[in-house]
Amino acid sequence: MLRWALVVFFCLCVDVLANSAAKEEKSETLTVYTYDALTGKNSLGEKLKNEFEKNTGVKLNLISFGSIGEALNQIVIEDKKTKADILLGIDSSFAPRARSTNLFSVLPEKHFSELQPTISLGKDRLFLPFDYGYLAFIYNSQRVQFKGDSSSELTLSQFINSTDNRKRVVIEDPRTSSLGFTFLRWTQETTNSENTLKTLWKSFLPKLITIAPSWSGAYGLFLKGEADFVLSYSTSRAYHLEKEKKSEYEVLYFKDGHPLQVEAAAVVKHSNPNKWIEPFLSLLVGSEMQSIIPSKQWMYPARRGVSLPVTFKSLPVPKTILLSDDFSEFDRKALIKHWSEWVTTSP
Amino acid sequence: MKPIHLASFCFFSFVVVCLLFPVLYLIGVGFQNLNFEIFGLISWRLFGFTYFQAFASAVLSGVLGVFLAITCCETDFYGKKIIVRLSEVTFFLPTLLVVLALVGVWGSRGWLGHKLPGLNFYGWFAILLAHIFFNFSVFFKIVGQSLKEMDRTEEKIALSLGATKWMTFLTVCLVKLRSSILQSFLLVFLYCSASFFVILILGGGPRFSTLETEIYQAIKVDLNIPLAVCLALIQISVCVLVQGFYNPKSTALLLSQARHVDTIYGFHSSFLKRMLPFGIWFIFSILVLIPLINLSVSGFVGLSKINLWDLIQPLLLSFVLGIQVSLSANFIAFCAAYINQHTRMPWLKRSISFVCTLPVALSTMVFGLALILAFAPVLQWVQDNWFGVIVVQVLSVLPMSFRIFAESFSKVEREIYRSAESLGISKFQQLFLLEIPLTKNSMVLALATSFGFSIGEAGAVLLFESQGKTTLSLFLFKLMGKYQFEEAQAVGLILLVIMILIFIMKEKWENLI
Repeated sequence: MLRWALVVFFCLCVDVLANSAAKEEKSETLTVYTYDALTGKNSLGEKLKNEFEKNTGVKLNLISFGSIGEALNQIVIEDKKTKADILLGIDSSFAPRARSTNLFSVLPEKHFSELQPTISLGKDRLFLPFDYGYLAFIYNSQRVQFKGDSSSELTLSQFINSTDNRKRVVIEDPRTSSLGFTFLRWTQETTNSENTLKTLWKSFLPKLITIAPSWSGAYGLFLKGEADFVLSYSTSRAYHLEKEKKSEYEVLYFKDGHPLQVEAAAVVKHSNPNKWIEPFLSLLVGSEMQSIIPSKQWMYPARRGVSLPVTFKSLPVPKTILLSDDFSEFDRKALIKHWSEWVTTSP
Repeated sequence: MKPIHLASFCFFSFVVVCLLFPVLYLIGVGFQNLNFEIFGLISWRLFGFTYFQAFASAVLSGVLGVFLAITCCETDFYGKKIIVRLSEVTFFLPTLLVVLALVGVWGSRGWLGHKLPGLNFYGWFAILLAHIFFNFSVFFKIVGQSLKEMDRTEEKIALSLGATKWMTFLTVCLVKLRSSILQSFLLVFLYCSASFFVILILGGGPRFSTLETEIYQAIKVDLNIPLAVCLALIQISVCVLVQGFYNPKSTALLLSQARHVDTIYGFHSSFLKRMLPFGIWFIFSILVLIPLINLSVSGFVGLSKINLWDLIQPLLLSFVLGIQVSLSANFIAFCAAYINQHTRMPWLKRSISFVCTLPVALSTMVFGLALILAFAPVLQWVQDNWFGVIVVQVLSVLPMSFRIFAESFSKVEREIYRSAESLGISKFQQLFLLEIPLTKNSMVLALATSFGFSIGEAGAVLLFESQGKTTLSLFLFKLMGKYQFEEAQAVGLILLVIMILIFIMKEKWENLI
């Protein structure tokens, strides 16, 4: 009996210690909700945390979720009691939903003055962009070769309608991944009717080995050789060139252009806003932090005039497809519903 | 106050607060939100796929499980004991581990998968394979046990009257096994219809969504609680309907020992006698042995890629959670079994038995959703303290723990109670001096079983994921979500070692009961 009592006592002690560590003093703390990839080792989040704490002496509490959608949901569930001051990493897929919740405040214009004008998530100043990238398919040139014309002679429709079903492609699920959803909107942009879009997807499906729940999942499959093409960003090549010194991972450029994926920060409305929000936003879009975005996030910085690493300079900048900001949460749900129907009803 | 009153207070408080209130609240919310708009979001395809894949998985698991059960009962061959032991292990392995093991063998770069370039692993093939992997053992165990306990006189008479072995098998043996096959089928059907990780990781997109994954999607991604509730109501209705046909008594066989072995259908042909073990070993190796070997080998390779320091926090948290769950579940199950043993009201016995087997019919997501809705005002507290995870896991292991204790209590002879009463020993003294020592082995068995379940469970942990807290299974899931299979396999190996240790311990105590 005594042994069991000791086990129970030990468990309670460990539990109390674990919980007390989590419930640290909240005063002089800025809480940021974000997604997993932004908080790992050597990530942008880690650098932001170190710099912010060094500059202000205030604790930056980075809380990560599986995806930015889950982080947003947590704020919606917590509503006025939320601990979050900032949502970091929101993009065009979840911006309409965030906007519809009315839980985020309009940001001062001063933060936007140094940003590139085309890099935006709407004119209402709810979202402060900090990086962006071009959606693109990445392939391994040692396994896939383009005969005659270079890959840049292709259009997205030609690539999708290509009769070669031996090409194995992996994309992200639009229901769970922002990248997957932006790709769905890209295909919508290249077609002029719902029927054409449906036909396009029907011809794409045989080439898809799987629809992965996240970017990391899809890219992992590609790197393991399970797929020939993966939906990612054009800057993924820069990662392989710089980090791994591998030049075989190429970008499939389309002559009709590539859409932008913009990541931004949003500030949660509070009756008594945290005074450290402003310094955080200034740090985020400041030149020092923006200059490390290419090497930490492998994305382009949103700020104007930031010098890029050599590997980024070597990448051709594709023609930009600007997806309309006028896309509501209702439109998002309708598009996903239709897409799910096309995908599930295909043989 | 008598111990039965104290036990009743503890048991019914838990049941009312953590089971009945949340589930009834969920049903209430569901009926409030029922409208055509929500039903429009649920396709027949989703409903059809959920139950068709469960049906197909149950049929295929049945074919293999019944075949193995009959063959192992009727013939003796080299390595039969290994097959029997490993079949028992597969049922208790965490789903994530099974998924990992199969990807390592059948994935495009897997041991067997890379030799079959035309094979698209993700989708139907992977789902069915994974479901067969850990469900064939349900048929194997229940049908095998039935066969061992069956009176074989009728079959012997049929054979002596000139009936062929095939005719006797089909018209006598299978008819007698019908009930245990049906019970196993319903149990596997229920498990597969509520399958989560297999579908989420091996499905590959909306083509392979089930009610369970859609509930998760509705709660975690779309934040569409009315839709989640509606899907949960459909799942509850089907499960309760299926449970109506399900007689839980047959699962008690999982714990009981064989009485006698009598063979009828031995092969005369020496060729068949020699070939059959090869056939069995071939199927068993492809399905179970190679994936488990792959997991172990890849795990060792992956160990070099993983930062072991990163494992400390998940490991510690898993152990703390496992201990909390096993202690809570066994306290509740002990209370239930104690009331069951001492009450003189048959309706109370039936109610306790019903309440304790109800969780078999409800999935982790449904429990989780019910708790989220019922405890919405204190949801933050529920998440921060892992209350939701603990409750869901306790409810999930309650049927098994209750069965272990009930069986153990039923073995305490009435004479002992009478002697104790004649000596004037109070009920409390009886509890501490007689019943707890006599059920000590069952207690350890139930603790080991529920601890093992908690260590491997990831659905509830994922649903109530608390900021910065990661268990071993959630860590494994996150690595798999990133398709970092080598690192995931290393974590899988650690999990496998823990599970094997728990299984060895469980086996030891099972034999002592």
